Amino acid sequence: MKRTYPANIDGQIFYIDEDAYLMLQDYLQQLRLTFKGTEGAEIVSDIESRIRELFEERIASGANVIVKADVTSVIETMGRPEQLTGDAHMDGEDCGGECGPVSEGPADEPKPFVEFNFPTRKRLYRNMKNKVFGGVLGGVATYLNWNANILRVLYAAFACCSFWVPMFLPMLVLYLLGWMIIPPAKTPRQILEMKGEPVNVDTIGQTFMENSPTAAPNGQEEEPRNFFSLILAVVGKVVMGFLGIVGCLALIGGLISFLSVGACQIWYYLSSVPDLVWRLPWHGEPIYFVCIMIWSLVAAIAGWALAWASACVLFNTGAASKTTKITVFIMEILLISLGIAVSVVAASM
Amino acid sequence: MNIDNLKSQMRKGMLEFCVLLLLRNRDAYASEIIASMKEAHLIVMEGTLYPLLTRLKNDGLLAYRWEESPSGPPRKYYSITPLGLQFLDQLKTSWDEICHTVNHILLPSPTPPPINIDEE
Repeated sequence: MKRTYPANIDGQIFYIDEDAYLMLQDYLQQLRLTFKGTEGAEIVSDIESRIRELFEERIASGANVIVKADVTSVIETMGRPEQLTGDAHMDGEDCGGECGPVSEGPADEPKPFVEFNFPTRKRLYRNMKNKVFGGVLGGVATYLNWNANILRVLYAAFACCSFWVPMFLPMLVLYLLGWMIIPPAKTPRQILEMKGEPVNVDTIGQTFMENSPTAAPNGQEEEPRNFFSLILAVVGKVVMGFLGIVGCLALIGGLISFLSVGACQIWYYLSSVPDLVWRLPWHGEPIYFVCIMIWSLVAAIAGWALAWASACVLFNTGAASKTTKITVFIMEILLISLGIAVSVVAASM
Repeated sequence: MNIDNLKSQMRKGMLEFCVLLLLRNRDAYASEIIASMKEAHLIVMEGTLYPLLTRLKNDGLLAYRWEESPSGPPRKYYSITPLGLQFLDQLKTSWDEICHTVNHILLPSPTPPPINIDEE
């Protein structure tokens, strides 16, 4: 089973298989980069309308869906971008009557078109094919060409050591940060970029074929690859569950503290009971009040984030959007710095 | 010396000439031109024609108009301009000269002479 997209090619709707769609999209993109400027846009749109005709012929001969083979044959008919540019002045025609010169064209002009279109530079992605939680370490390992499991053990060991560091689990925070910031390698192009392999029509198609049968239907959790990953996943899930409980407690505690302290302060301002102030632990002092309110919020937000993150891992609930994550993170940082500042002022009074 | 390269060099100059020749008598849209050119084994990669058409159009040798087609979206019909006809005349003259020269060398003896003494 394959997913198909309806695609509008020169005003005509075609149903195209996902891999064929990606291939065609890539091809047109490469053409656009090859033929630049307004003239180029015209050439590409002419070529697109020719592709429409070729597909129409295909549909007329009984096909329902445009498949990868159709796109391949279209690309062969139209020619690859590097075959179309030919030498610098005359466009194309390096392959004339015979097909022999076809292989000659690119040889005359040694640069493969992938080079000037899509840099084959490696990019850091989260490796969705080799992951325990978010694929952060898998991605880093792929990026650095290391063994992912060794990196995981080192990271876990390091994280345990940093327990004694007064900061709150810096390695964990670092991991969550990586999870937030590093994009996942989802499309075939991203997978190729992650591995640092050249991105072109062939490799895209190949990667797609390699990935589609094993890809989980909804891109969620995949089976860990071996026993070691399994153990790590189980331990990780236990830790995640624990953190989730801590998060829930922090969220509830923070909210209760925030609401009750706020209510008490309002009550104190509104009521005229003279010795109420001595019954409040913070003696109604505004600076202490602000301080407690800020730290309650910090705890509540951190708890909420932690609870949500663990729920994502444990119950496959939907992850928060990137903007939400970043907003929450920035808010938390601001609140913490504000809290520290207010606390310092309060302590010095 | 690369024979394929030489062959393709020979053809390169011909393509514009042939496109203009095709359009001399009747207007055509890109796919028709492609079909004729492929029939004549002049091009293999269809994509090579589009940059060429655009260039000829931008140089004022060709013009195009949109025309409704019996099926599908409107088609781009190319026609030759007066300037294009003028160019075609010159190319034709040049082509005749080349033919004449080559035939002059080629025809008297079936095997090409090793040294071009006969030329003048």
